[in-house]
Amino acid sequence: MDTLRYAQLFVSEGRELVSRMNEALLSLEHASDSAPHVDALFRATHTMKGMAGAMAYEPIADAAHALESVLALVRDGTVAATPELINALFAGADWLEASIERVAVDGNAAACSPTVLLDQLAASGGGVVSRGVVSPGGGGALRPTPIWTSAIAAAAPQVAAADGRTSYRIRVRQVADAPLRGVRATMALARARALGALSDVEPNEGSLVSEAFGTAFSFALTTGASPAEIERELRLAGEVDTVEIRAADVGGAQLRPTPVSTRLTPDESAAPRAADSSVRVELQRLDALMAVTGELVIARGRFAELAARHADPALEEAAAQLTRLVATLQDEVLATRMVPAGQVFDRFPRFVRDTARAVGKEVRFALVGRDIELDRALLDAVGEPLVHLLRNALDHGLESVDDRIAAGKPAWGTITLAVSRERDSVVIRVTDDGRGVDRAKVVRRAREAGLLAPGIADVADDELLRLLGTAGLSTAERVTTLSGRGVGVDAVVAVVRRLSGTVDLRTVAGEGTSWSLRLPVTLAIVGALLARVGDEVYALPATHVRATTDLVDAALATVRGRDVIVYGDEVLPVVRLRAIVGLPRYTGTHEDIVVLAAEERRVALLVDELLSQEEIVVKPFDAARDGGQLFSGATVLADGAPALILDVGGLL
Amino acid sequence: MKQTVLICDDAIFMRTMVGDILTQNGFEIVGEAETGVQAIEQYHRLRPDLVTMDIVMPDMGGIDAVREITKTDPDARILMCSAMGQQSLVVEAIQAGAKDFVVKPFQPSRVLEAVQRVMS
Repeated sequence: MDTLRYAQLFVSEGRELVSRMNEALLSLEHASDSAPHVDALFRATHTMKGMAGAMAYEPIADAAHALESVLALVRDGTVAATPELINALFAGADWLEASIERVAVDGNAAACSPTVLLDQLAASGGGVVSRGVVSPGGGGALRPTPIWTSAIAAAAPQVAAADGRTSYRIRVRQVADAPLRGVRATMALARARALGALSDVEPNEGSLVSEAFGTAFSFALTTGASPAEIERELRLAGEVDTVEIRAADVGGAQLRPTPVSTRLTPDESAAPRAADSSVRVELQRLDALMAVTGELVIARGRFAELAARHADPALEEAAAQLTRLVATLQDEVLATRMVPAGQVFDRFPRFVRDTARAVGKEVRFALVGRDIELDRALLDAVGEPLVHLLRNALDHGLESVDDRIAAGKPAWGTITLAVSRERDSVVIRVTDDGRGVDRAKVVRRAREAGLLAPGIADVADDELLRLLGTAGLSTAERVTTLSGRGVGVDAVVAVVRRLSGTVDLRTVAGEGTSWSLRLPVTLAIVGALLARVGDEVYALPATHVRATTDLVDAALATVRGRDVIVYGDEVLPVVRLRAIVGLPRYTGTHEDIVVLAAEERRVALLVDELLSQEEIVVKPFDAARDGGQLFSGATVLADGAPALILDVGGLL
Repeated sequence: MKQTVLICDDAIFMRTMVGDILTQNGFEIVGEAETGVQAIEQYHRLRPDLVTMDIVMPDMGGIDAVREITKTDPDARILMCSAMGQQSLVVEAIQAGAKDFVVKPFQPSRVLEAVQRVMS
């Protein structure tokens, strides 16, 4: 058995299950009808137990079994879902999560010990849940042999019998050329009947006896026997090729033994299953695929350029075909990297709940747009900034319950994390209805720190963001372990810029604060305008380009000593790319203008010449070390020359 | 000590064939029966570890013999020997208490697999 591969599957599925458990626990805490949430919890826990058992991760299987036992008592009404018990269940989910991460590192569960958890669970049940109930190895504990493997499959959600027996859906495939297979099938059913309650034989028993079936038949069995015992018993009926045993009550886990012999006979009676049409792929593989595709995009560009130099129709046709194919490949690869925001953001409700408890705030948290798809790498990268913003909102943004009531607001604060697609970018907003950023205090601190001229009494939101984004400036009254001294905003801004995105802040005293992170949909390949100054080529991310024009079309003027351009009915400040990159001022007669925008801010960027719009492959780039505030990344152009990507957010 | 077998079949050819397969795999043939009545009598006298039982035999068929034997010894390890097309009879034999079956013409590997299941 490829243990490492199964361990990886265990980890990725385990994380999903813990996330599902947390979701159910959060709902359980507020719901009036607890039954569906308890069921969801039970299923997730049961699946976890099965998976851990299959991997012989005994401590995890034991802990999951203990949780399951407690949940069974909650489900049948023996034990109430008190806040203490829910906390203990949360602790259980945390323990499982920590253990899964241990497995991710160690490749085994040897370092996991559920003793404390088991005691806590026993204590939280108010005496009804005894240490005995939650102790490992109790009735119905699944103890499959290590040959069992686990995979996701769609299964009809049925509820396990309460007496420790489990409902399975079992599928037996016979050796293809076995004589009198109908008799063998009835023998198998007879053996199954001896183990428990048999039902739902498919095809029906009459068809089985008369051999009116393919090589496989299936049935439901509710039994106290373990999957290994069931399989052993069924094999005694003779001429059995494979036995598939799926726990019917876990809504997803499929336990399947490694076939003793692999036969390539088509399975006549197998219905197509939705779960079979998807596979799990390691993120690293997608990254590698993306990197190769990126190289291919560059090579294609080089090839197209070379082909254009030769007036050869056949070569041009080949180049055009290659271009189309590479574009298709790029789309497909990008699509595989897209995942729903919920995959990463679903952990935030739990985080907000715990944080709110720690700081003694009442909060309702809403997650909007969790189905919107984003590049997985980008999702992972924004996780930390969002944690910062949520912490700030909870710790500094939201008022205490007393203060809120005094201010005529609802006692509970509201925090919303909303994801939305806007054109070719994604906007993630964190909004709270708290007290808003204390402008006067930020201004005072900024003046003290010499960041602001003494005469300035108030600042606009943009300036406020700039000041908050300066490391070390904080308005927090006290240092908390949660969000520290306003740390974070500078870190948030830095991360978002690195991702070629922009940050926007809107805050109103007494009403609340809203942070918007605008990001490209994908990190790997972005549209960019290539601009030349002198001999150098720079890339301007297309997300920020609003318009292009040339200088003769737009009137250059001077307002209070600064160059501006009157473009349409707008007056835009002028920024010269030559000045940014340290080249002497342009002496030619014709310059091109790119109107760049980030949120509400716009500038007119003057360049010598606009070259073309290209898809560029963004290369990892340490902006802090290599490019200061000016560049967010680098790319390789079609001719193989490197080019820097201008950080428009920083420029504005 | 070798495991013992009682072979019940009215055809010498079949008894020889089954006997060869089993002796080559460590069994000792302690008796051979040509009828159901002989099978019952020899089973009680010899107490073999394994019985192979043809379904169709003169004077008393194999199924009735199985019924008689398992009436007094439910744990008797009886392996039915059937021809193709006898599935309803095989089902009846299994319900009567036979533990497994093989189908003629015999494939040694299938016979041995069945024997192993019966003996386990």
